[in-house]
Amino acid sequence: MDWLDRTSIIAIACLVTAAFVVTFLHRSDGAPTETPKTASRAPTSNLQLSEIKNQEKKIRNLMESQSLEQAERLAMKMILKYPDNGEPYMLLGDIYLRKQDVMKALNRYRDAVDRNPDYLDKKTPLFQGKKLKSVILEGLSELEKKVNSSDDDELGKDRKLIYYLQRRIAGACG
Amino acid sequence: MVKYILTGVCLGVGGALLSYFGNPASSGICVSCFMKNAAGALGLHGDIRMQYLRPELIGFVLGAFIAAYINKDLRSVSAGTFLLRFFVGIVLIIGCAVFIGCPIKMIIRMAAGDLTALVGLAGLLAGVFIGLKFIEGGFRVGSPDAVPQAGAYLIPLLMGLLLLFLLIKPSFISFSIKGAGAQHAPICLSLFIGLLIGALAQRTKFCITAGLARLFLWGPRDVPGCPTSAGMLVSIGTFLLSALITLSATGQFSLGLHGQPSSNESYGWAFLAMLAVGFGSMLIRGCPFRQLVMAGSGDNDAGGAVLGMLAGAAIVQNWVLGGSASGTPYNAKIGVLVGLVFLFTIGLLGRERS
Repeated sequence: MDWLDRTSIIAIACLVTAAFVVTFLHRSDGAPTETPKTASRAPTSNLQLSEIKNQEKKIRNLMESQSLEQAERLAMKMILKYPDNGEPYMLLGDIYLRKQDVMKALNRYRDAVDRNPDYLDKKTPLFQGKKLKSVILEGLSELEKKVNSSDDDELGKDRKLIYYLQRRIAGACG
Repeated sequence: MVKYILTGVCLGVGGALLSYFGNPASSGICVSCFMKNAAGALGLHGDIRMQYLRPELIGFVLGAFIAAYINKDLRSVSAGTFLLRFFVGIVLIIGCAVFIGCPIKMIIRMAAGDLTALVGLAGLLAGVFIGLKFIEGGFRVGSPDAVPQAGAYLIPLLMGLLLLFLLIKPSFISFSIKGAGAQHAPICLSLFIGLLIGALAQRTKFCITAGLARLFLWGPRDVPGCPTSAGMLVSIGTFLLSALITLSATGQFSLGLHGQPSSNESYGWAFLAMLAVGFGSMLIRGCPFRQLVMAGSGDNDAGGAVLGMLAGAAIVQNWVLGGSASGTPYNAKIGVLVGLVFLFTIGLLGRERS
């Protein structure tokens, strides 16, 4: 057995150990053992779609009449009823944007995009790429203001969120 | 030397133009992404956003086939390692999927200013180094012997069939209407560039991992003394430079670490993934792109690698073994680690011992 054999055996042992460590950390994070496949969600039925559209109209009307708190409550109810649909999150993001809370809005937009990548796809009627790009720019300028005042953890999280959305937009067709 | 420069320029300019005219950003040429699209089109996975028979992939094989045929270089050969290459092909695609790009796309990402691709380059170099040590230590895949000539036509025929499917669009072949699968350059342009690159790569034996391996074999000082080594490295260099120029001219260059397409912040896993790609490529004598070209030139074992890459692409999509903008999922991490264990194991078992 030469040095290459010994090194290979050690490498294999390290890799197997690493696999166990990764599995242990994954389970202790409370993550589900199955990774969800966003592309193969159960499709929303036509009835649900029309209900979502009606709710969306109501929420948009409330936003126009500046009843933002009521709109937010309705959007939250929609999220509880349709947790896998991106539209309630997109609406909630718009509400937070109206309230001038850019980072909260970006978090909801992230949730929307994760559930429905069509929001970043120019070939679909749901495309929101331009709006998201401008909100990201607002978020970046807010980050710069926060650099001196906020704690590092919060700043790190906000930065990660913005970089993630930038990557999603850069890799999408829009 | 001219043919090496020409190959590099065609790769660089072609890759940049393909993404300018419709392919996804920084994915003008990417063997692993194209394999995933092809697997989706053939119904091997259900991701509706990743279904398209990429003409570039077809062009690489057919271009190599035509060049080999014209130059009487088409020889059906096999070293009897079809199954080995099939499984290593799966590992290569898993590694590429975690990095979100093959070695060709890695160069294009670097040329587009994506600094995260440098992590992939480091991993690829490490993997090539490890693979070289196994080859120096006696790892052999056997010497290719002549086998019935019909074998040389199988993969080119398969690609010809896929081209037919692309053109006539039968109902059993899927085509995405949104997502990455719907982003593509015109078929004629993609096919033309694929054929040109395939033919040139067949003549020059272009391979990113082989080129990088020669740096280790010869050392930076002695490489110019070996025409083939120098040629390969000149190809890679001109590829990078011409891609950089074309991407800058077409507004696709953006220097930075963040917000780059096809990237994430899982640098450690990107490094390990490309280490697996470099290591695996050395064991089967070529990177994913080189396997396509060899398969087009009649190498039956490379055909095994191509089919393995197609199977790997389907597995990656079905089992979520790929990286994404949010990072590297748990399944993908295990996939990379298992892939590396597999490569070290076959490296150990494949060594000839006196």
